[in-house]
Order: sequence, then structure tokens, then C-alpha cells
Amino acid sequence: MNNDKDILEDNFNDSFEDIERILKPLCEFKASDALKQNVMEKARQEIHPSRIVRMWPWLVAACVIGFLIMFLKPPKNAIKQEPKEEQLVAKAKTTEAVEGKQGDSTPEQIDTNIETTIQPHAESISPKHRKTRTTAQRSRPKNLEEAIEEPVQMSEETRMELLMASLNEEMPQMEEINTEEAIRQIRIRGERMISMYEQNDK
Amino acid sequence: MNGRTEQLLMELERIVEERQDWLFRFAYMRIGIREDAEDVVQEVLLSVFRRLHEKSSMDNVEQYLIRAINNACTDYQRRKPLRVVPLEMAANVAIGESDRQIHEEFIRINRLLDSLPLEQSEIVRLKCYDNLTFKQIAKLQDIPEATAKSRYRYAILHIQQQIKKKGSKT
Repeated sequence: MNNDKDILEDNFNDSFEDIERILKPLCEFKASDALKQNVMEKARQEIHPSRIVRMWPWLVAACVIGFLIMFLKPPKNAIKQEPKEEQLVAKAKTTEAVEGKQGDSTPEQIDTNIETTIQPHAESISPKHRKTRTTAQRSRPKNLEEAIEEPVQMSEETRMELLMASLNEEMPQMEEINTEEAIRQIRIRGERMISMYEQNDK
Repeated sequence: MNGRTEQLLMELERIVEERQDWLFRFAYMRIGIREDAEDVVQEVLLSVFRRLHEKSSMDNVEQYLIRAINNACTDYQRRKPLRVVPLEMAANVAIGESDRQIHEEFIRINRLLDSLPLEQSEIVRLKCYDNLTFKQIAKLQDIPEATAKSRYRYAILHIQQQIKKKGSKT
């Protein structure tokens, strides 16, 4: 009895499995290639709009800032003109000063120039003669005639020292000038100074 | 395109390659038309992608796919009920030559499950044709596992009797 029951159960199980085997797929189901392509394409399309949507606040902010900069910033022409005008005025002043200095000077002017250059060099002279120089500096004559009339006690050595000192000071300035003219002027100055001092000695 | 987006697309591509045939078979055996079945599969895969994009990761993609395709097929059948064609006329239904084999398979299975109640036939399809476990079937149908097993057993017995009757008649 039990054996019959087991056999029936085995047959039932076998038939059960047979039914399941019948119900399984007998062929292969393949989706078309276009399915994958369509899915990937649509997925990419869904992504892109969101990026654009998220970026728009930044774009709007950048445009607003750009407009503000454009309207609040002063125009470039006004800024550029002001320094140009100042430069021109400054140049004009400097050229006038240079022209004034470089103008043709008369012999009297040359002499006064020499005097003014000599006086700063008084300190460079040896101490034994300094006293004499300082008195001369203090009592500065207004013109050459007054200077000649005044009894100036000067030795030969001091005379030469003064001449050399003045020449040394003149030399850097003379480098800019034509050498021949410079030599001529030096000669004239030297002769005048010597004659001046000789007259004083007399 | 940033790195995260690239990763999501690669993940989607992997899921499509692994599961598209199974999803297509699931949909076709309930719909019977290739184009409609592929549309349903496409919608399901895009829904997976959107979910990945929102949450950046999914705990159980497999479970989500099964539920999504099942719901999509149910919605399709509600919108477009299967056109009832006598089985003798089924061979005359216009289908492409390449799809004749899968269409014959569709007819064969539906013929076997035609006499069963809807809930039993669905469980038989899920178990035998879609290779789901009773646990997965129970979760999908929102029924206890024991109920799923008993319905399956009754369905198999019914089919067995049907075959015996046909055999005895011949």
C-alpha cells in the first residue's frame, strides 16, 4: 500500500516536472538593437536640460553684473585726456626752463655765473686762505666794478686754485656743449679772471 | 558632462545589456506585439535611470525592475485589452517573419494557460517562464509565499488534467 502511494507520488512529481518543462520557453527572445540605442539617447537628452536649467541663475547674475559694470564705470576717453593734458603742461614748463638756461648769455652773465660757481668752492680751498674767501663771500659785490675796486688780497696759489675749481665745476656741463666752443669760453673766462685779479693786485 | 553623469550612463548601459532580453520576454508574453513590448521595456529602463539620477544609487535594482515591468504590462492591458482571436485564426495575424517563432511561443503558452483563472496563470508564467522564485512572486503579488505556492500547485494540476483529457480524447 505504501509502495503504491510512493509510486503514485513519484508519477505525480514526474508529471509535475513534465508540466513545468512544457511551460518553459522553447525559443530565445531577443530585443532589437534599436531598443538600447533609443534608451541611451533618451537618457542623455534627459540629462542635458537639467544642466541648463541649473545654470540659468548663474548666467542671469553674470549678465546683471556685466551691465552694472558697463553703466557705472566712467568712460575711458575722459580718464585718458586728463593725464595727457597734465603731461603737456609739465612738458611746456620744462622746455621753457631749459630754453631759459640754454639761451645765449652775455659776458657779464658769464662772469656772474663764474662768481656764483666759484663761491661754493670757497670751502674746498686750503684753510690758510679760507678767511680771505669767506670775507669775500660775505661782502658780495653787485657788479664787477665794485669787485675790482675792493682790495682783495689773494695770492697766486689761491688764484690758481679758484680757477681750477671753477673749471672743474664747469667741465661736466661743458661736456654737453660743443668742445670748441667750450674751449673758447674757458679761455675767455680765464683771461678775464686773470686780468681782474691783476688789476686788484695793482 | 561630469563624472557622476558618466557613471550613471554607464550603469544604465550595463542594466540594459543584462536585462533587456528578459524584460522583453516578460512584456511580449503578456502583450504579444513586439513594438508595444519594446516601448514598455524602454519606459521601464528610463524610469530606472531617472531613479538612479535622483537618488544616485538604488538598493535593489532587480526588484524594482520586476515590479516596474509587471505594473507597466498591467497598465498596458487595461488601456489595450488583448484582441480575442480564435486560435485557428491566430496563424493569420500579421507578424514579421523574424517574429514568427516568438509569436508561436506566445500562442502555445497562452493556449495552455487559457483555461486557468487570471491569478493562477500569472503565477505560472512568473515561475516557469520568467524564472522567479516563490518569494519574489509573493512580494510582487503582495500575497503570502504559501498562497503563491498553493496557487501554483493548483494551476499545474489543472494543466495536467487538461493534457490528460486531451490525450484520452485522441
